[in-house]
Amino acid sequence: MQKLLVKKELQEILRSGQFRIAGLIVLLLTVIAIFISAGYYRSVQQQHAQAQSNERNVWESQDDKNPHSAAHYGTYAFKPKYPLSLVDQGVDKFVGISIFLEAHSRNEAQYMAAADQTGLARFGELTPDFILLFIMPLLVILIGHNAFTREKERGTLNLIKSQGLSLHKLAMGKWLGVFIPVAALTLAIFLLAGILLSSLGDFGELSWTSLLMMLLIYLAYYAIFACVSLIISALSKSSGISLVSLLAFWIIGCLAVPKAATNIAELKYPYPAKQAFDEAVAYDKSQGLDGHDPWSKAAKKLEEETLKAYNVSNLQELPFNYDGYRMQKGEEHEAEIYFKHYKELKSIHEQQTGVYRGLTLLSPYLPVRFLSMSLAHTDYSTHWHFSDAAENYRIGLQQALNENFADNSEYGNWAYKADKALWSDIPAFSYAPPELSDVLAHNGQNFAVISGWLILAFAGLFLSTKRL
Amino acid sequence: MLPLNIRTELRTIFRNYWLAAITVLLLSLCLYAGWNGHNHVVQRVENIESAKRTMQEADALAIARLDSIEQGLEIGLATWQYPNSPTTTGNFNPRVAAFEPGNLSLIATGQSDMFNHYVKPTLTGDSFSIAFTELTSPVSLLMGNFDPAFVIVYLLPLLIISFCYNILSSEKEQGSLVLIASSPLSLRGWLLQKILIRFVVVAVLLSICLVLMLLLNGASLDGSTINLFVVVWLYTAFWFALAYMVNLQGMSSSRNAITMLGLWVALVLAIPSLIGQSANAIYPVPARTLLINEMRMAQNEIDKEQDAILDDYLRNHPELMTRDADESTAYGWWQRYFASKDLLAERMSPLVNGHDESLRKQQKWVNQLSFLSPAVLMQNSLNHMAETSTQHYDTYRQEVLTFSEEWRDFFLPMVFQDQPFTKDKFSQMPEFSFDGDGLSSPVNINSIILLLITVGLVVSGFARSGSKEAERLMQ
Repeated sequence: MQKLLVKKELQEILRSGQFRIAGLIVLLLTVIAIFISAGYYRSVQQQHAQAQSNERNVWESQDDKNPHSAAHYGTYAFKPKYPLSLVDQGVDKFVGISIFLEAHSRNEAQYMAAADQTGLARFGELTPDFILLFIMPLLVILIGHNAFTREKERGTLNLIKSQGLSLHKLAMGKWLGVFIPVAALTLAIFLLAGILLSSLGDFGELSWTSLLMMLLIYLAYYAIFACVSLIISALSKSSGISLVSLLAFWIIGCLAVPKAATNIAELKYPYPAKQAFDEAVAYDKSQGLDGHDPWSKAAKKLEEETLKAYNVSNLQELPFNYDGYRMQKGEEHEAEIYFKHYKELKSIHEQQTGVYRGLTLLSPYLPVRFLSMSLAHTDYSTHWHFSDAAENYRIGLQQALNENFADNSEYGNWAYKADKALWSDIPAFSYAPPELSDVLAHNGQNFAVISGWLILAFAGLFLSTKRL
Repeated sequence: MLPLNIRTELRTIFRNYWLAAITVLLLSLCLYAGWNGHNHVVQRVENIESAKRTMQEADALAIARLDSIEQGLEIGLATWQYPNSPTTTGNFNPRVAAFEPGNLSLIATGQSDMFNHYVKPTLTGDSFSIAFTELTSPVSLLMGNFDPAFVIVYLLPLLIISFCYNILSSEKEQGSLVLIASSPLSLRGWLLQKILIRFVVVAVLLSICLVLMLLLNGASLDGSTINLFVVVWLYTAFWFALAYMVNLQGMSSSRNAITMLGLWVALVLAIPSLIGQSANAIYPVPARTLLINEMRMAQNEIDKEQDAILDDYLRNHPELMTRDADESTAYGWWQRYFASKDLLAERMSPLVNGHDESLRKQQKWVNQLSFLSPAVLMQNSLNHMAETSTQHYDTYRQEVLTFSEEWRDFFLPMVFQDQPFTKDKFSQMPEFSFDGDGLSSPVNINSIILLLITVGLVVSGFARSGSKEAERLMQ
């Protein structure tokens, strides 16, 4: 009997002009979005590869020069793109694409794509994640809003009930009727994305496990929307009221709560202004050792300590160039300052994330959005991971250059030039994003919230159909 | 007949729970959004004020030191930190080039969460490397803000839809349409009248909410606020006109709701993103990665040319140049330093200008296509009135770059002629003030387009001819 009901529901939905037209539009938009995104990412990836190799050439083609000059000349770390960013581009548009790695300073990633676009970019873009997160739930609502009201309006609800079908089974049947077409469409979209991604050679290796995880998360998202649609349909008097109420749910969950969360997060845990942050760093730096300033208190102290440690009476007697040594100590002090200030920024990021997480109970969109971005390596945490990796590389690079200076020249010899072979001896920057297991471990709470939403949604569905 | 109709309609509306619901909703949404916008503005003002305070403290300290130097006292600093060196003051006492918020800045966050509102250009800093983007969480940028513009552009249409989707269809479904049709008033006239009354009710409510929102959040009511009201009324009128058209199709309530929601998705979500994307596709901004490469290569070449002349160490640390240096050396060194900077800026300018040009072309394209979506027209108008539009930040950037040149031009003669920086020169330093008044405003043209679309909808609805049309609606 339940099978019959599911079959009837499916037939009804598939035959309805509404689903056909809307489904076709969604599918068409998705295909367009996937191809636009694929084209965009392919070009970004090419630019990235080209820029990275050009930059390495520029670094390696430096002439013989003082290692500290090379340190100031610096190099760039470019943030790579990953295959699943084609499905969910996350915050990529709003973070810089490259970090300048130089002596004495940890720089922010520069050149976010959104700053090079008009204000319209803030409306969102026709990308696969836009369709998966915003448009597909609307499709679910469109299919499900009248699942019960339709029967009520036609007077066929009693007829169905008189067939001896339990209300639970009726609810499940209706749910399957709404869920199956959407799930099939989603599956088709992911399959298309998977095939496309594995055929794009220069896109890096696609993790099918991550793609599958993503698919499951979106299916859970639509399952929740299907339940809510049926609950509201069961509680509403007419299809119109049901539709409008569901739309209110959609707009609260997908637009209003996330935006309100932003305002709460920014109000409670504001980031410092860029200039103020830079000045605070500069102030802290000035309180300690500056490798370039041999006259400061900190420099004098270091000098005394070094002379004592090596048991010599003047800097010329040290077995290394003290200028290089002081430069390295200064660098270490500055790295500590940056570590401290970036730790504060990171803790603001954690606190803000806490605000979003706190509101996931009001919006199934939030945990799905965060999980999807994490899996695609397009979330803010991955950006932090990249930024930290670049900073570690910078620290190592400075150390290698300062050591070369200290070990190969004598005190006071700023005219020392390192052989240009040194530039290519220093390994290039390479970055690997967090492993899937780390991503999953980091997102335990989001999984829990989605599971909670699913349980609540199904419980709500069975309770609301009881009252039919 | 007409006054009685209106009276009946008003009575129905006032007795209906919808009015109470819409009042509470609009008021709470506007006040909450206004409060958010206000917080954003307060944060911006505080940041600027704190920067200005720091600047004044640094100025006072430098003046005190100059005083001491002029009196021949020892100030206990390394020579390169002496404020009577113009390079020191030019670098360590920069002005705060601030972009202060306007009276209506709270109504639309626009681009203000992405860009910063003050920078401090220095004498030896690269003008093209001034960072104009703010330290913000990209998650916040992705999710957007719950500001008054969000309430007006996104939510207001939905309230109107829920208020109007079943005006005609509900009468039909209740069977009362025949009764109305028997009255002397035509069906389309009857519907138009109902829609108009609802429009007036919503417009009045909205105006009260907006006035409260502005007054409670410290904005003053002036000429620009009247502009705001006109724009908001027009946008409201557009959605009512759309509701009128959809109702006239004579479909069921449910179909009306679906159609109107479909239109909402298309006009508020889909078309704006498509216009934005088409702008990116047609006028792509040259890749920033390649800009970096170009800059590096140009720098490399210039460095190689300079290697013969400039001392490596001092080039990286121009502030370490002492006043005691031989005049001809100091003059020559700084000249070469700024010459190499100019050379780099000159080489980079086609690329940097290329970026700005593409962005301006994108904006032009977006403006040309914005008639396709009233939501875009509305958002652009609100951003402009809030002084948070892309054009505002672009102009601010340009003005800062001009100011940065002025700053340099003020100090360079002193540097090259080895003149000391004196106390009285503090008052002669160039000051920055942002002037966005010269920006061309899209508000009027956007309003005219909105008005034309709205009138077009109403007229085309009303023009659909008489008895046959009524018959169709009755079916």
